[in-house]
Amino acid sequence: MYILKKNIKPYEILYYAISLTYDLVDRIVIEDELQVLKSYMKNMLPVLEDSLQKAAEGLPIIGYNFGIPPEIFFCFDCIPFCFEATPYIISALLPSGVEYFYDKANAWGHPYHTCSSQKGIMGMILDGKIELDAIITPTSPCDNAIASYQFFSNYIEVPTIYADIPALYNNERAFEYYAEELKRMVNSVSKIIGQEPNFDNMIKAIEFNSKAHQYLLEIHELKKAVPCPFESIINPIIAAATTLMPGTYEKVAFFKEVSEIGKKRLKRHAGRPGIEKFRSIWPYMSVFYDFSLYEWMDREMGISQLWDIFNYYFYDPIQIKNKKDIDDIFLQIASQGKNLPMNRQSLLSVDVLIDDMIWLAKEYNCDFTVIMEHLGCKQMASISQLLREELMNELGMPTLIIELDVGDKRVTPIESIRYQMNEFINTLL
Amino acid sequence: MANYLGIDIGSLTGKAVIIDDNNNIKAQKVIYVKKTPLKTVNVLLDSILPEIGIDDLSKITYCVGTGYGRRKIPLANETISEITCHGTGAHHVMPSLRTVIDIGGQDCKVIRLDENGNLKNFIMNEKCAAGTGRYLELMSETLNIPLEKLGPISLKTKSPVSLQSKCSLYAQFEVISLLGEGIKKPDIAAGINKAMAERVINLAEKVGIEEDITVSGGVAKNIGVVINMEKLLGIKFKKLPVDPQIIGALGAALISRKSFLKKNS
Amino acid sequence: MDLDNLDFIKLSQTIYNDYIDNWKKNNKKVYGYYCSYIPEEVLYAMEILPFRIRGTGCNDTALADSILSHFNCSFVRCTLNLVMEGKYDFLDGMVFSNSCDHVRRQYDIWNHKIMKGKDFPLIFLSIPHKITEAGLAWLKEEYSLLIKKLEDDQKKAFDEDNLIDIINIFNKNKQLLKSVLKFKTAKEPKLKGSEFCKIMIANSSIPKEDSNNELEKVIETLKERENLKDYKARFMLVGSYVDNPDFYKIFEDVGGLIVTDSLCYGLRYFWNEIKVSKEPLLEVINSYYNKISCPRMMDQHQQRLDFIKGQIKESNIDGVILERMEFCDLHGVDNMLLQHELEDIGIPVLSLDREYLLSDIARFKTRAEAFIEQILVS
Repeated sequence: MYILKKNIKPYEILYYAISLTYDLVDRIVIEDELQVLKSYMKNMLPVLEDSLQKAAEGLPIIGYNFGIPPEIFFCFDCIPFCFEATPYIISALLPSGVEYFYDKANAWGHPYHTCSSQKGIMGMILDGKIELDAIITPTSPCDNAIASYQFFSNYIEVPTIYADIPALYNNERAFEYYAEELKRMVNSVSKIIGQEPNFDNMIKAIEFNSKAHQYLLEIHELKKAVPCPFESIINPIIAAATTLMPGTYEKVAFFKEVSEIGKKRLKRHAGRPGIEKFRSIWPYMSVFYDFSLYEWMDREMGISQLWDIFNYYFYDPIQIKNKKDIDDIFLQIASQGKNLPMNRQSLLSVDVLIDDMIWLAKEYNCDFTVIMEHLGCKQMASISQLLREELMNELGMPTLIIELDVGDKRVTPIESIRYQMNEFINTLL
Repeated sequence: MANYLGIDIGSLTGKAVIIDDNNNIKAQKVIYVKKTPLKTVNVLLDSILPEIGIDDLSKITYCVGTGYGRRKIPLANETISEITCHGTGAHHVMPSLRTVIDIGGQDCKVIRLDENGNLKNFIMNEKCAAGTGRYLELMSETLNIPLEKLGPISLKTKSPVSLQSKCSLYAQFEVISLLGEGIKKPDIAAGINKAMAERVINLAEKVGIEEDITVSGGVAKNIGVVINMEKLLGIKFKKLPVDPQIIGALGAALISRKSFLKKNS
Repeated sequence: MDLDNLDFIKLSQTIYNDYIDNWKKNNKKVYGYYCSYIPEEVLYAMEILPFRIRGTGCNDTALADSILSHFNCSFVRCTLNLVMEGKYDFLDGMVFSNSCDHVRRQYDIWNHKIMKGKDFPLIFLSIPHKITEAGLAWLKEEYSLLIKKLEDDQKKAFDEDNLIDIINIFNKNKQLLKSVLKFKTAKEPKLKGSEFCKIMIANSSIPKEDSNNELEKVIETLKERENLKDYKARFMLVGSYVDNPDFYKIFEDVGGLIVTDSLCYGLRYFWNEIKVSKEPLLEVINSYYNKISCPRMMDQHQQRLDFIKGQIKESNIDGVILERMEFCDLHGVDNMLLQHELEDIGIPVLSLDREYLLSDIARFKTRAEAFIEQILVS
């Protein structure tokens, strides 16, 4: 039990949830099954332990939006606390883990249709479960972030720094503007927590991330194999890993292990458990509140989920040409940050998303697309029909759109999601 | 002898109450609504007036209308919202009340009162059926048991199911699949009542809950919902000493007297 | 003659009108836009009539439903439906911005569906979400790009000197609207909120020179008018886009007057006049960038709260009505904060979610009536 000087109860919840589940998974799941989940848990634990240890020492806690380039935390000796990923991973691990907090926020007057990821954090804050020293966010990827971070800033009165990220453009002008914003953000955090930025540590984190990215690219290549060597559950797990353990040795270790799992299976000419009948890409999010969906898809439906939004990366890793050239490094961070999952799809015109999906569908030999239309995401809801039409026109590929809240089972129950997928398969394919 | 009349035309029932100069109830009536609000009013009057021995509208001193049909009551001297009328009526029969939760067929209101029975704050559900009597109607249809049995039958279980859906349509879907799985009706009914209670408490929390509390409206008759709400709040509700259904009309009658006296002072 | 008989007021009932007809007969263009952050003066200086997209006359959304999701706001749904019905066929171009996700994605929908394969200018203004020097510099470049695109379409150069004249016309318009507003906010009001809404709609639908003439007539008419009687409470309306006089009538019907607001289709539109200086374009940019904000501006919540508090005091407000379109995340969270902040200082607040097509009037009226009763007893 950690005696925390500062409160980050959700990380404690996560830590205990993962340690208990890991122990169970490790003991009962048979060899070669759910290896990815096991590897994630094993590697996630030390990252959480480190955060809790630091919180016990009283180091500053910085709440952040998952859309911020995570490398910049490593300029400081601090605990980065990811707002959006935390409630969703808790909702995946604990059956009713976040509902209490969602209801807490609702009772305070929260509009039910705003993103549950931030709603969960609002509830936790209203319930006194999180104390922070600073909050940082880009002005993206969606209205939810723009609205919710104003709540955080004005309700808890913690210094909140916004890095403005331009909409529409994906060019030098936008990268330069955003890079300057990020530099100003680092300076502001530095003043708030009274630490000089340590760019050497940031570069180390970038190097870890770049290494992890290399393994991720290997995983991408492995996914091209038919049948896919990975279970569908890999996608929400990779989403959790990228958002909750950025810039760490453990992230590298995790991606390396995942890549090896794939390679081993491929060597044996074995796919994932279950027979692959259909290959699907998910341009948007995965369902978080019930991971059993993926096992059901794999084993009973024969549907492989090859991609979700948190798994396709359309950027190159940052190249450190000169460790002293901080401006160049920030420019690369900014260019990457503009193309981080969800920033890319939400800030740029829909053409980019359409092109990305067509490329993925062809490259990965896909049969259909599933769009999980998340209640919070109006930027996606507005164009999901459009995307469906374009994919049909370009590739003759059908799309299933399911309306839900990916972090709250009470909006669309998992039975209904299974039912809709089943009907789709029966009718269209 | 004065006769102050309050008429409350709701979506399901019409209610009338007549009080005297001392705020004592002289007569009360509850009927199901007829085809039009006007018809409901006429039937109400036809049945309540003989009870106090009058057959002439001119013997009615003053009349206040409330409820959805309040603007369709020809003899009403003024109209007041059902929110205020409920508060006034409830405070009159129990001055210690600070919160009234009224769950009707189409909507749910939470009314906060000050120590004088004045309206302090209120909230009403948005359009959605979840958290209103309509939700229970839909569920009882799906379960195929009469609405009034939904409460008593739910007490027979020790293992209530947990219904997850917030949306009434999905909840129906869930109930159907639970029935398909062979889950017993009392278990499901208990789950329905619990879900209903959760929705109402969620709404109530938005305006804050202060004791003493009472529940009125048709759904107050469902013991299963009431018990669940009490459990969630850890509070015992006060039972009104009169039929909860007439509270709105009683409030209207009380306001009727007050208005008349004010106008003639 | 009373207000309702003025032809100007009747402009609020339709989208197309004779003024636009005349404008177009002179071979001049009309551009549509959604958001109050789009600089009308710049378009006007290029001899383009800016027309703010609204949902007037929409009664069905079947066409738009085929494109949008259940999670989209009904204002955007209604306007898209009108676009698909051909009600906006008179437009020669559109200027979009990253105002909110619903509106921002209309750019994509126009590009891929509405104007697919057509030579129709679709311009996007990328506006920062916070106010900084760097943001201003970014916005300057955005304005340059906007002007460049307008120049390409109009085949003529932008004349900054001409912009000064245009600013004067628009400033006069704002002054006139403020004069009209006084009839509404006065201790003894002569003008109802629903009528003011109609004036705002009409004002957004025709060339500003014409509107200025008409507003002067409105002011003369109002001077002759008797004070409004029999109202019970004075409200301020705060929240998302309202271009529907019937929404105001819900409160008026039960004795509530909406005497002031913080709405992009209300006071926020005309609150800031543009400074006249030797750098007119910069003044336009500054004015739009720093105006009384909408919740799209992340660092301006306090500014919005202060504006509301100022209006409450100045216009003797009894209670604030916070409204928002369902699925509007920006106003959803902002209203939640405002509700607590206002209640904490003892201001009664009524919070309402609404759909663009009003279907729930009885329930709205019950709440409006109870809100008045709540205010009267306190």
